[in-house]
Amino acid sequence: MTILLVENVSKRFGGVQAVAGVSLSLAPQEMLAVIGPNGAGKSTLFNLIGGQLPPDSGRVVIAGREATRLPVAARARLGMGRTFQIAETFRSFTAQQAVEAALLAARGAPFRLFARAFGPHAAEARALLAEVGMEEAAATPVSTLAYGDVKRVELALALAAAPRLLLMDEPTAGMAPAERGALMRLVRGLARGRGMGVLFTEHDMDSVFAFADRILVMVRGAVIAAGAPEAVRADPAVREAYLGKAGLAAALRARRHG
Amino acid sequence: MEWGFWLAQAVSGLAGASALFLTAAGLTLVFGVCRIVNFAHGSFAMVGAYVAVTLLPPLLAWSPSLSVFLLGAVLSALAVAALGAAVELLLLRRIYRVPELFQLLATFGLVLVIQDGVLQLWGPEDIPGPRAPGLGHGVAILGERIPAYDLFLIAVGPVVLALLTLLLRATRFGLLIQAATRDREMVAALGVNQALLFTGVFALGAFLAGLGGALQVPRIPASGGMDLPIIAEAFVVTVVGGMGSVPGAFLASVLIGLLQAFGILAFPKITLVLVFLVMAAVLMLRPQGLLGRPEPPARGAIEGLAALPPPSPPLRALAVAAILAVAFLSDDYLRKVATEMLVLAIAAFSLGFLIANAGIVSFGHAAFLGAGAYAAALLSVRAGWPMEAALAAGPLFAGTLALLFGAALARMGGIYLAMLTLAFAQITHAVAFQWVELTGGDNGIVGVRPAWWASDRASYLLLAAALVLPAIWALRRVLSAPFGVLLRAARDSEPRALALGLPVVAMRVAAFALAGALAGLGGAVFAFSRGSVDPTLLAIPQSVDLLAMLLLGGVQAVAGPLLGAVALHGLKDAVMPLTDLWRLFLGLAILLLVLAFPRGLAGAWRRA
Ligand SMILES: Nc1ncnc2c1ncn2[C@@H]1O[C@H](COP(=O)(O)OP(=O)(O)OP(=O)(O)O)[C@@H](O)[C@H]1O
Ligand SMILES: [Mg+2]
Repeated sequence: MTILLVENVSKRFGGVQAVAGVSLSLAPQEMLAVIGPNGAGKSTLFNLIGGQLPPDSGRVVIAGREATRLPVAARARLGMGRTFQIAETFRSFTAQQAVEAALLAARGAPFRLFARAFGPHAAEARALLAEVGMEEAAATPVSTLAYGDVKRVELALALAAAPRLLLMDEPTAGMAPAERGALMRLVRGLARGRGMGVLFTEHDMDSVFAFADRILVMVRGAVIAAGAPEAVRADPAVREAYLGKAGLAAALRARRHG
Repeated sequence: MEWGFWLAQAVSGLAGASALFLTAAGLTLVFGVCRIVNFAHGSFAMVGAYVAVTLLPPLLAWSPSLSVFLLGAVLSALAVAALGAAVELLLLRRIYRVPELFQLLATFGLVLVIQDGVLQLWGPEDIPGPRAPGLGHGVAILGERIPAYDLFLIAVGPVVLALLTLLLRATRFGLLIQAATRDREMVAALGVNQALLFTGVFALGAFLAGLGGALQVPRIPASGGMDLPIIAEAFVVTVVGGMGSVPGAFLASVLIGLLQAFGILAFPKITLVLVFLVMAAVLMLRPQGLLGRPEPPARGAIEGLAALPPPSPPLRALAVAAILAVAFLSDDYLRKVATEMLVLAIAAFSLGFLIANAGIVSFGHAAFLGAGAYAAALLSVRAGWPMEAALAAGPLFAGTLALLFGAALARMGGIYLAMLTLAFAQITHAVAFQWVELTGGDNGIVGVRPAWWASDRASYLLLAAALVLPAIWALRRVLSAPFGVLLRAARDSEPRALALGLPVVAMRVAAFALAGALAGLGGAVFAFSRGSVDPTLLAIPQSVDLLAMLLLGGVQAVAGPLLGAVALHGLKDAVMPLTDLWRLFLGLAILLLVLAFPRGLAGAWRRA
């Protein structure tokens, strides 16, 4: 049983082959990490799966439904939720209101003209904020929160729709190390408890190796390795990709100073 | 009909298309590099025409030859280029970083300033231009007399396209323009002198607009009202052609020019409607325009104003008390003024709702005010409907119009939508103006009388209040209902709203229809209060007045737009008798507001 199936998707921007024939599949309860150096194409891959960008070729299947050409909102209705590399939240709301708005959106009826928007989902919103560790900030405007907190509110917004498939693009960017573990633990708990499939990217390798069930390594748009964390860690191609990059950086530094 | 006749139509359409292309090419180049939509670009074309009608006669008296004529046209365009450079240096340079709404407003302030400037310098009369020596005659083709100058103009379009292409491909300046259009940050990072590039591009854009205006004068006299029709057409051409694409602008102007020429045959009164329909069809199939790049800068909503706040009960009592006091204790003049304030208030509120909560900036909201007024007036006077039915029909008609417009174009979003609202309003105005049999043209419709029970001013004021105040309160309720809240959420972040499954475009269309219907209600109330309607009611300046009310009053306070309506009305009454320069005054006020408070007025505006 798979919640997400990606077959051979590609995307080119002008001269840059951002994603080159990537395939993957994701099961309910599974945590799949996509890692790779800056510019490897991770966010582009997420946008192809999420529907923010159309792929040049390839196929995306969500919960058994062909979704390659579906608009974003339709994918959401199939049970897909996501967070963005640069958090997308409702800045003019308080944290509590933002989550209530997300709950309203997820429950449908966006055309109701005279019902009260805030209130009916207040308790639920509070519970979601508590889950991501933000209950203290419920009354704080999102626009004044620290970035790590904004990312947590964003996760609460995504979770409000009770997704069966969650994409997270660098969920812990801007957080302190201790907070990162807590957040990833929360997500893993939800994955296991609700049977949610989670696809995430991360630059923080501790989070990746501690929480991913499987890892996919992308370099210049292509998958160069995939498998269990230990196997990936030991893979010579991966070592070369990362070390190669480090080596290149060192060489550039030497040239600039020399 | 004969072939010659068709040819004459085509030639006339293509000649107009050439001048339109020059102006639109300037607009699209400036947008590509500076990311500013210059509402004053049509004003530049107008200035070009006026300079040409001043410069050409003495030049041609000195030496009546075609080359001197062309020299005069180029000199006129250079004068406009200098004006453009000055505008960039003094104004635009300061506002590249302010929210889009204020950029749009600032360039609109410029439109008003230039309108009055032209009026002062050249007077109110149209000034016809001289004929081009050697091209004043007609050429007989297929038995039809084709003006030689039209044939010349047709050649100018492709020549300028070729020259521009050469400039873009083969000069350093051109390569920089192309690079900046593709990737602004990159060009900045490469250490290019951006300030110089921007000024240069803006001057080039103004030059093209000026040339377009100057070359038109043998066909069309210079007139003070030509700026808005030109900018409306240029907007349509640039959006249809693809923003930033010069060949796209060429293609689109030929398309629009031919459409207008031949549309006259099929739908004599509503050629402009045809243009609009074709534009909508093109944009449905290719939202990025004919030759635009496939992924246009995705900006779903325009930022600038804080959302309208929820309703507050004490003010309702105050409003009701004020209306009752005016109705029973004052004179007819005040009752009339109060009625008109109610009309402006609902128009401004509904616009504030669109801008602040839906993130849709409309430069043509008066089109719906006017649509409601015309529908009510026509049904009452021509069809003999009772007042009550006509009052109900106003908002229905305006709402339907807004729904159709929104359904056709709400997908565009952001700055494109702002441009297209202006174009749409201009087209609505043209229909009201030109369809004389139905609308009475310039004179409008007179003799719109209320029912007997509302025929004295006090009763009519009470009726107006009974219609408008509940509508305003209902709109305020909507703001705190799921529809209003989720609309604002989608304004804050369209990607997030979509990722949550919200039908964002459909919601924006609904918001547009709702705001249009409410403005239409105001218009219907206005028609019976004034007793007549005429095209000024749905002209662009009326739309700008509505925006100015929001700017003056802000939307943060519950009474903001209402106070803005009162303030603007009061200002107009105070300033107009003292000076003819009302537009100059308003334009400068808008410019000062934007320059002095680039981050907004009194906390009423959101982050820059
Ligand atoms: N909209 C776009 N237009 C043009 N090029 C793009 C676009 N989006 C991404 N790219 C390019 O595609 C490549 C992959 O970018 P992407 O953002 O997917 O990488 P990433 O793996 O997410 O990097 P990071 O770790 O820095 O977030 C990069 O070379 C980037 O410059
Ligand atoms: Mg990324």
